Amino acid sequence: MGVFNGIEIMFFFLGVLSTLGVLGILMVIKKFNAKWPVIALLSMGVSLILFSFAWSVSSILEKEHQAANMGLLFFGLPGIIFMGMAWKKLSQKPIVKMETQ
Amino acid sequence: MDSENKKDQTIDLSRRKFFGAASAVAGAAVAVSLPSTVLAKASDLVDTKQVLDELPIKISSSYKRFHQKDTAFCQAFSPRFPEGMIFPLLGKTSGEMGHRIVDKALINAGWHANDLLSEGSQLGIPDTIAYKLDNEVSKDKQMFSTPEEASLYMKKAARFLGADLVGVTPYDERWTYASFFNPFTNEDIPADLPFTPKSVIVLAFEMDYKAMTTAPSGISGGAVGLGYSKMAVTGASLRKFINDIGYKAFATGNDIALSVPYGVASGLGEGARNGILVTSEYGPRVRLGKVFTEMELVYDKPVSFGVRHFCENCKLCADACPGNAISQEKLPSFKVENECNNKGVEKWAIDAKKCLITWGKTKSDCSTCITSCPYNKPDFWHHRLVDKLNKFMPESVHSVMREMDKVFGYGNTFDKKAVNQFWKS
Repeated sequence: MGVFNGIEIMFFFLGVLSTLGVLGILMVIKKFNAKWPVIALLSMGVSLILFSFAWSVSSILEKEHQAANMGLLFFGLPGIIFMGMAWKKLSQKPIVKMETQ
Repeated sequence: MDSENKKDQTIDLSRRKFFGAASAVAGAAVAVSLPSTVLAKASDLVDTKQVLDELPIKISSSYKRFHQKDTAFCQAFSPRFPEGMIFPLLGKTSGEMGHRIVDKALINAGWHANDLLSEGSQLGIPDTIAYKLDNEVSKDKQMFSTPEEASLYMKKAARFLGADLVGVTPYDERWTYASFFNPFTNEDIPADLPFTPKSVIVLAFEMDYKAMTTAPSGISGGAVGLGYSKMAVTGASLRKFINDIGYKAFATGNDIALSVPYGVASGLGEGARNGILVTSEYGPRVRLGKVFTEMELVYDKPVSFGVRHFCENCKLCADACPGNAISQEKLPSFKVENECNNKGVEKWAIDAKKCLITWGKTKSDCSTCITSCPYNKPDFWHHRLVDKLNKFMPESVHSVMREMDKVFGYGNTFDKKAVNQFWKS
């Protein structure tokens, strides 16, 4: 790997992905005018997915493959669930009260 | 109007640029100043090592120094404990993974430098080539302006010569054997030191993580042997360095004095349930050497990072021990198993006789208590994070963390797949 070792490359990409994650959340907030429950769910989801990525790559680098798989399961899956919940909240149609004459 | 708007836009854009550039400069300035100020404070907050003023182990007022011949190793050579004579079994080969000729050859290879320089020191025999007690001292003395400066040079030299961790502590006579013993000749040796040391430089040597995952096997035995070889080479080299700058010194391995209390006193780690020093960097996967010197040095203080508290609930080493030699008691105490234990020190006493018999049964120097320990991890950020979180967690969470360690696949013993993985890694 030359000058950089595996963990340094992993942290570089983690930085890139974190930036993309924050930008993604900001875009969602702007585009969908998201409120705090969605922002909280998205933030937790992105954080957990990034953490599971970092955990799993680190475990692969230390050649502990079971730890890598379990890292994805324990941290990545809840992250996806949080993202799904956020998506569901965003895709809910706003309830419009019909005014009666 | 259009031209005015355009002008305003131009001004606005240039203002944005100005603020962007200014914020970039400010950000860079903050980033440059961070390492020296904020980051230092932040790391202090994150550093969960608690520095202690006293040894975090209770010592009985009636404590008496331990005799080297009471160790299980020495007893195994005498009629006191003949079933402990398992040493010829350690090299036995079979077709079983980890015990093949190629696996067992690593044992002798790992131990080779130790055997050349300090054969028998692992049993406590003093005054071997590497661990010679009386050494020639140079007449040209290097003077140091302060003990701090002397410590700095000693620690740098120790690391340069091969030590992975270095700590310095005052000489404490309590940990010197009350009498020395040669189990090969069955002779008592008076516990005379060539001079009264002032300081002890404690050296820790990491054992290979992947090799230890194969425990018990010839490969893990090789890692243990290599640890002893490093102890002899680095210990003798550091001793020579100190002699050549005009100060008296002698190096030791398992001989002369107990290693774990010095490891704790010098702040390298904490004493654990398995009777081994657990360091924050490598867990229990270390070997300890010591260099005694007359030099005045600055002393490190004992530390606590939650090991003793975690051991109360974990017990993974006790469960993994094939000889049931490790205590299942929740709290450490003054209780001892037999005469192999150093009496008068509060700890989880291990049954060293059962331990040695298990070495014979596993045809190796076992090491399952090292491999199974949750602190035995490679030096990666996520393990350090868990270690730091562990300090703040309540007892109930410690039990969960113990189970998670197994679920994540760490600490497996008698793992035949690990042997293949070791050779192919």
